[in-house]
Amino acid sequence: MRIGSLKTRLAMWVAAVVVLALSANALQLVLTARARLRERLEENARLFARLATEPLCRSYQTFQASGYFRFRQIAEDLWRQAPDVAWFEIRDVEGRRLFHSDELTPGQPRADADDAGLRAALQLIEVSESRLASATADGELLRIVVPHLEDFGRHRLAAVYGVSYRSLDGEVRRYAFGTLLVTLASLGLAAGLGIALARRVTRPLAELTAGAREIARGSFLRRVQVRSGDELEVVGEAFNDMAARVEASIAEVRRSLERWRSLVEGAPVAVLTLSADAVVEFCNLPEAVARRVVGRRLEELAGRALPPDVVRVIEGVRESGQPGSFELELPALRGEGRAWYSIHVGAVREGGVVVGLTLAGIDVTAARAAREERERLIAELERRNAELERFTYTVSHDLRSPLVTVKGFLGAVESAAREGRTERLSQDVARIRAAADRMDQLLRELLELSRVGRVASPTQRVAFAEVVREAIAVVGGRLSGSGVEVLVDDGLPDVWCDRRRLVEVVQNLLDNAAKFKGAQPQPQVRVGCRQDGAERVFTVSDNGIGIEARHHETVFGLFDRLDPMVEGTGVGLALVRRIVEVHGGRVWVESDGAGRGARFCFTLAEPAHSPAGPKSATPSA
Amino acid sequence: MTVATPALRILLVEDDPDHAELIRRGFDARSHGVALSVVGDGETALAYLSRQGAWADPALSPRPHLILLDLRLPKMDGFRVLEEVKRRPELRAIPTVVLTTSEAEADMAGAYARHANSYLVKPGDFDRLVALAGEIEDYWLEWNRRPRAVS
Repeated sequence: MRIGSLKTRLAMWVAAVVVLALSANALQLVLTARARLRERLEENARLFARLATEPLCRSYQTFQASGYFRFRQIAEDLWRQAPDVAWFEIRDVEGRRLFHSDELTPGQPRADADDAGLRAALQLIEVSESRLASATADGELLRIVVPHLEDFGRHRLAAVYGVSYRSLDGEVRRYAFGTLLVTLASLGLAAGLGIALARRVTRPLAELTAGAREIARGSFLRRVQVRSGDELEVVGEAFNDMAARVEASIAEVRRSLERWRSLVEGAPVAVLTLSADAVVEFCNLPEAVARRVVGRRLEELAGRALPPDVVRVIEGVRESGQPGSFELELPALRGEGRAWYSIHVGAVREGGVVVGLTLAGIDVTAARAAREERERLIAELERRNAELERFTYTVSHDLRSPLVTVKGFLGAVESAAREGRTERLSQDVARIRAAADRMDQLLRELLELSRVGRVASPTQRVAFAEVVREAIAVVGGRLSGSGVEVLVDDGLPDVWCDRRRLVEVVQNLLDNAAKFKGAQPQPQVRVGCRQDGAERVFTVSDNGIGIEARHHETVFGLFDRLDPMVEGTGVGLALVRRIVEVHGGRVWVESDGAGRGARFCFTLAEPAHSPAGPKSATPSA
Repeated sequence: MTVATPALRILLVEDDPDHAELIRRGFDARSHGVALSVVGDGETALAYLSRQGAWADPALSPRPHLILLDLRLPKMDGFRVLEEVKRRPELRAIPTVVLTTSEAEADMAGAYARHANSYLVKPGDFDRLVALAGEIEDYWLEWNRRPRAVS
């Protein structure tokens, strides 16, 4: 738009100047021509007046004197030769008009125009001229007065000529018309030249402008063609250099961007950039995933308020510009559910001011799970180690105990033998045998305990009632021997178990109940099953001596015995606990206290939860 | 169980009756001035010392000059008994000697941390047991001095 007006303005200025100059020139030409023509006309008229006066006046005198008719003929001939002489008169020296050319043609005679100027002119013996305002609207008239000198310098007559400029008008008009034509032609030529000049001057500018516009629109390959050979060509070359540099820079920027884009889009990491006010500007995840996982703002990352420690990390990055990181649980990138991400936050700085944030999130769900699993395993291992240590300690202590008895009484027997005392011999030997038996039993039970979990028979579905029946068959003799009545509830469910082990459990619990029947006159054991919420709890209840609450845990400890007077090694309940735990269940005792009976309860893992059966485990207490 | 005027009254806390018998014979082999009271578990030991229940009569539960304490006991183990004895001002002054089969480092440290006055391991041989009983008697009767309030 600007360049158009520049061209137009230039053309208009040139045109105006040319028009003014040509017009002035033409006017001046016309005026000069007019003045020259007028002068020539006047010259001719004067010459005519000088030449015609003599014959006119002479023939008029003759005519006056002799009535000679030739005067009119002569006057008419002369007058016809001077077309610019509008009229002529012959006057006497007093100024009286004697003859007027109007008389030659039919029409009204002119009024006698007389004035002092004319009379004075006639009295001089000189040629005189004056300009008169004509009575008609034809403009000026030149009046030439020429005296007719006779012999001896006297004059009696004078001829007066009225010279009209009328013939000039036509000529001047023709001349002016010609001039006008030339002027117009010159104007046209000038206009054409002007436009061509303007175009020539502005074409490089237009080229530069168009080039600049195209580059501004992004066509960085555009170059301008300026061959004007002047400063504009220099400008054009500079422009092309600049465009080339811009193109190179842009190409470099594009390549760089492309590298980053490829890197970011191919990265196995979720990458986000955020504006200063925490709006997500860019995200390398697919649209739908980004909307679901990330949202539009940082605050929406978690779908709810970010945890305070995460907010602290982000604020820290905003304030210090130093990177930070945190872990956060978000919807998983693939599929349903949630995943843990380790998110690293960086600051985008401009002139030392943080103007945005970058977030890179790595799915660390697996690593986290592995870490948790590792920690769990370590804890488990530590627990097992402690258990093993306790087990070793217990075993060494409790195995030494009968050894001390054996060796001690052996010594006693020896010294008694030396001294020949025999009164306590059989008693001591009995003690030694009992200790040896005890040790033997301990070792067998320990071996049994260590087998549990190591030798895991495949689990099978078996009716619990069947298990109970089998256990009763084993311990039935001992039970009936101590007068214990065994009751088995109806409707016991099926269980998944290592059958032989579960029989051992029930057997030990029945034995235990018989051992601690106390002074009960009608000792009873009842085997049943109850539903505790989702859990099936198997119970073996007795009406024996019961267990105080503070001993509810210790009864299951290896070699832990509440009453040293009751036979047993303290392995039975430890074995029960071990077998139940290997079956994925737990065991505990319920009792209202001493003398009020006890109820041993245990659970087993339901097959749905543990289809593979009992877990294998290392032996421990 | 009690002698008319025993020079040294000992409370033996031992759950294994065989061990208790061996220790008794150890003392019997040499001594004439030891009165040995035996209890089978920690709770009974504390009941004896604080004269509760069956032990309410001070004649049945004279203050011992020495407690021989096994660590592994039913109901209440030796450490708990030790803690309780050393916690109570009236029992604190009674020398308490741990007598056990355990040679575990943790047991020794735990015993001394609970202010046990000595830590002895039951010897396997009868002769050595007799010797130990004699040493205990000698040491705590002959060499060790105690304030009158305790006796």
